[in-house]
Amino acid sequence: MFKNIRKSINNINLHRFRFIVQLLTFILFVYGGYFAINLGSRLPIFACPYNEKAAGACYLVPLQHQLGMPTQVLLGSAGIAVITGILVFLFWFIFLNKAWCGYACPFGTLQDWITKIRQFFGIRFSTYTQDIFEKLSKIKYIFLAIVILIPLLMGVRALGTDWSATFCKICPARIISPMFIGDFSEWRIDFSSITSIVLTSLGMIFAGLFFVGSFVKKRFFCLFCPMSALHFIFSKFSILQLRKNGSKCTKCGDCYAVCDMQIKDIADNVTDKNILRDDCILCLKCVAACPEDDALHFDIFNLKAFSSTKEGFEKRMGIEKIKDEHEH
Amino acid sequence: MGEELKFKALFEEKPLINAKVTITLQTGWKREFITDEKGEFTFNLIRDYFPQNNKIDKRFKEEFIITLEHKKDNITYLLTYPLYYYLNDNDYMSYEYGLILIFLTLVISGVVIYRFRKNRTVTFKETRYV
Repeated sequence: MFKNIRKSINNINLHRFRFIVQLLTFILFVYGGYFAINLGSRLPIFACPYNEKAAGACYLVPLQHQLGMPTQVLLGSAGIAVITGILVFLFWFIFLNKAWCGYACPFGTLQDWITKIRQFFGIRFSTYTQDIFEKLSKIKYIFLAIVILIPLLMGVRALGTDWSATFCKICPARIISPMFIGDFSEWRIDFSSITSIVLTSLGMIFAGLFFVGSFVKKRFFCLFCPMSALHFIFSKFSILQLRKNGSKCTKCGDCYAVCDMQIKDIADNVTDKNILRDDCILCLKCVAACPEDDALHFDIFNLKAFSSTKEGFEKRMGIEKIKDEHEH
Repeated sequence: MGEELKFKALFEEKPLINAKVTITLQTGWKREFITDEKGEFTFNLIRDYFPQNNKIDKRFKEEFIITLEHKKDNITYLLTYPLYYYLNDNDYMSYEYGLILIFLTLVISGVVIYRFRKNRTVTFKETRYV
C-alpha cells in the first residue's frame, strides 16, 4: 500500500496540482479578509497589506517599521518585538521553505497566470544570458539591504520619515495587489516631498516593468525579490529540502529547460546534495521533468516525499500513451 | 478634510432651534451657522494648512473649535467643542502623473522588447558541409 501511495505521488500531474494549490492560496491571501481570515503580519510571501482584504501581511512591512524605530527604542524593549517577529516569520517559513514562492505567493501566482496569457497568444518567452542572469540575481540582495539598512538609518535620524517603508513604496505589489479588490488608490504619485515623489514614481515604473517583464519572462520579478533573498538565508532550517543525487544525473538538461528561474546549477552541479539555490521557488518542476529514478527528490524531514522517476516522467510527457498505442 | 460633518445641538435634552454656532479654524478663519428645526447643522471641513510645495507634513494636525451659543432667561450658555482633522491625501497625491508614468513605462519597455526581438531574428540558413 505504501508503495502504491509513493508511486501515485511520484506520478502526480504536478501542473494540475500546482494550479489548484496556487488558485486556492491566491483566493486565501488576496480575498481572505472577506472571510475574516487573518494570519498575521509575519508571512513569508508578498501578501500585501495595502490590499485591505488580504488574509495577512508580508513580513517585510512590519520589519521595516520595527527597524525604523529610534535606535534607543530598538535596542530596548522594541528589540524583543523584532526578535519575536523573526521567530514568527521562521515558524511560517520552515514548513514550506521556498515553496511559499512556488505555491503560495499571490504575486508569484499572478506572474504564472500572466505567463499563461502569453502562452495562449503563442508568443515566445525571453531568457537571460547566463552572464546577465548572474548579475541581475544580485539585485534582490540590494533590495534586501534597502529593507534593512534604510530603516536603521531612519532610527539614527540620518534619514527622515519620508523614507518610512521605502521598499513598499517602490514595490510593485503595493500598486498591483489592491487592484484585485477594486482599489486603485495606490496608482498615485505622492507629491508631499521630493523623496516621496522619487520613491512612488519608481514604484509606478516597477509596476509597469512587472507587467511587461512577466509577460515575456517567466517569474520576472522573483529574480529581484528581497523576500527570496531572506528565504535563502534561512532555507537550511526548513523541514522541506530539494536534494540531488549527482551519481544518477546524466546532465540531460531537462530540469534546466523547465526551470522558470533559469537555475543552471540544477542541471550542471552533480556534487552538491542540497541543490536549492537562492533563486529557486521550489515549484518542483525540475523533479517532475527529470527522467532518472531518484536523481532529484523533494524531502520532508529527510524522507523522500516526491522523487523523480522514469515512470512519472513518461506519464507526464505522454510517452506512456504513445507506447500503448504502438503495442495495440 | 472635505468631509461633511453633521452635528445636533441639544439643550435640556431637547433639540436647540435657531441657535448660533461658530466654527473657528486654527488660522482664525470663522464661519457662523444657525441650527435648523431639528437643532442640526452641517458643514464641510476646508483646508487650513498651506505648506510649501513638496514640504507637506502628511500628519499635520489641523485643529478647530465649534462654539455653540444660546441665551435663555438673561443667561448666555456657551459650549465649546475642540476637534482636529488631517490632510486629505488627494491634496498631495496624483493619479494623473501615476498613470502617465505607468503608461510610458508600458509603451517604452514594450517597444524596446519588440525592437530587440525583431532585430535579433536571424533568417534561416541551412548549414552546409563541404
